Parts: sequence; C-alpha cells; structure tokens
Amino acid sequence: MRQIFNSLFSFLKLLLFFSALSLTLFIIVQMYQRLGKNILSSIKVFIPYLLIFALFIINIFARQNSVTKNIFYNITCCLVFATVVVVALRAILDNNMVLKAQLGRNINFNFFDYFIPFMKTMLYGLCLSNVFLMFNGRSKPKKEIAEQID
Amino acid sequence: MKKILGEYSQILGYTFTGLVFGLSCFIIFLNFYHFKEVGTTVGKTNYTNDLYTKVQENINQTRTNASVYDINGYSGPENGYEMLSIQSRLMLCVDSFSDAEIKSFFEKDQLSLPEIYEFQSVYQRKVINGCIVKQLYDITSIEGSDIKFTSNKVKMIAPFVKLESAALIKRTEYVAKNIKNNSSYFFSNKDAKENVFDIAKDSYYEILLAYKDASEFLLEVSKWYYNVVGGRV
Repeated sequence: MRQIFNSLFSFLKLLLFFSALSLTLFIIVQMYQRLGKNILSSIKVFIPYLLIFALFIINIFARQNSVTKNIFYNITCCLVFATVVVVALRAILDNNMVLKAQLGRNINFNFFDYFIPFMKTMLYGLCLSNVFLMFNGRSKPKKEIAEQID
Repeated sequence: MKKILGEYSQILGYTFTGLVFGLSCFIIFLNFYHFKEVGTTVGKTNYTNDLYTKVQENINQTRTNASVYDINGYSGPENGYEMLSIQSRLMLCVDSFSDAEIKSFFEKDQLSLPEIYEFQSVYQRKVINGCIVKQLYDITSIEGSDIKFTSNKVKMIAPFVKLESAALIKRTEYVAKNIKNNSSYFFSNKDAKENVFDIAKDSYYEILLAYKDASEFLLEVSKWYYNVVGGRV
C-alpha cells in the first residue's frame, strides 16, 4: 500500500513540478514583457526550480531511496507545487480581483508577485530538505542486517 | 561519527520538510479563504431599494424645480441668460443622475466586487465629474468661467456649492482604493477584517449613500433656483 502511494506521489510530484514551472514561466514572461524588462533578469525566480530539478535527477540516478521513497517528502513536494499551480491559476482565472482587468493581459500580476517570495521560500526549503535527506546514511544492506541478527 | 551526522542530517531534513509542509498548507488554505472572500456578493435589500427611491424622488423634484423657469416669460431682477444657463446645468445634472449606466446597477439582484468597483467608477464619472464638477462647481468659479455669473444670488449660494462639492468629490475615493486592495493576501488579514468588515457590502452602501447625498445636494441647489426665479428670495 505504502509502495503504491509512494509511486503515485512520485509521479504526481513530477507532473505538478512541470505544471508549476510552465505556469510560472508563462506569467513571468508576460509580466516582464508588460514591463518591457529583459526576460533574463527574471532568472532568479527560476533558480530554485532549476536546483530542485537537478536534485530530482540526482535522486533518481543515484538511487537515493531515502528521498525518492520518502512519502512525507513526496507529499510535501506535491503540496508545494499544487500551491504554485493554484495561485497561478487564480492569477489567470479569478475575475473577482479588480486589478486583473486593469493590469492588462488578463493576468493578475500583482497577486502573483505577492506570492513569489513564498514560492522561493518553499522551493529553497524543499532543496535544503532534499540535501539533508540525501545524507541520511544509506539503509544498511540486508545481508549486513541478517549477520547482525545472527 | 558518520552515523551521528547522518541522524542529525535526517532530523534537519524532516524539520525543513515539515516547515515547508506547514507553509504550503497555510498558503493553500489562505488562497481558498481569499477566493471565497473576493467572491462575496451583495444583494438588493429594502434599505437599498428605499435609498434608490429617495434618489428618484429627489431627481424628479429637481426636474420640476428647474423646469419652472421660462426665459420668455421671466420678468424678475436676475439676468435671464444666467438663469437659463443654471437651468440647463440642472437639467444636465438630472440626466447624469438618471443615466442608464447607473440605473443598470440598481436592476441587478447581486453585485460582485468588480461590479461595485465599476459602480464607483460610473458614479465618479457621471455624477461627480459630469454633474457636480462640470455643472455645479463651475458656477462658483465666477472669475475664471466663460460665463461669468454676476448675479448676487449666485454669489450667495457659491460658498455652499463649493463646500458641498469638495466633500462629495473625494467621498468615495477610498472605497475604490480598498476594493483595489483585494488583489493581495493582506486584504484578508485581521486588521483589514476589523477595519473594513465586509468590503463588498460596506463599499456598495457607501456609494449608495454618496449617491443619495449628491442627489440631495442637487435638490438643495434646485430649490434655491426655484426660489430665485420664482422671486421668492
């Protein structure tokens, strides 16, 4: 059961990661275009995304079971990316916030801008916890455990 | 040593994960709350209907008062053209107050926050700018105006018009600013809740009251006009 949930959340984590990244990219590109700013200067918003993606790749290829099979970490990742998706969708679809129409492009940049520091905090937090969980000392091989029991 | 460090690392890893979990839970619930908060609507009540009826009565009375003047039959001491100018100003004000765009907001059963914001914009554009500033406040600028009002009766009412207009012009500005703030989470914080209470309802009622007060002000000016052209003052 735990294995099934873990696989489910691992898959959901990646799905939500790409959704959150694409929505953030869409809003940030529109925001910078509207302001006439160079899109390259928005790179600081995406650094935590790049870091976490790199860590995910490392986790998969280095078979970091202490992270990839950590259900609490996977649920937290899903929750963080789901939060980003919810906020981004609200910035695009919630018509009850009056600034949306006034800022043009039908996106509430003001609302999303308030969220960016929280988003960075959560993503850097995930990176940190990923790193700490990676050094969690690999679980002992079964053979060694069996010897200890004997 | 390695084992101890590994355990500490595990503790820190779970601590950070827990903190991030808490923060994301907080933000996602805050979003649901904020979504519900900005989706608030305000409906018609007996009180709002009464206010609108009162405004209509004031407007009708103003129209009656203003239409009493006929330049061809006027034989009073005031300048006939000045009185005609004021009559046309009052009539333009009546048109501004009973504009179809304003009326449409009273026909809706429910108004959302963007609609209340729009109501404030229309009120500001039609009633305040179209009537109070352009037509009534302009009477007081005796020296700078193209039509110079020489009548002492106009000079007599000018301070009242100036004072009332100044109060009405900025009266609903803060309402628009408050509604604009609904695009941030700070809108939903405790201070905002205590100070604003219910932004949709309070804003709507404030605009309605301002609308009623503006119509009463217009009625007062029309009464003065009625008395002047009727030779009663």
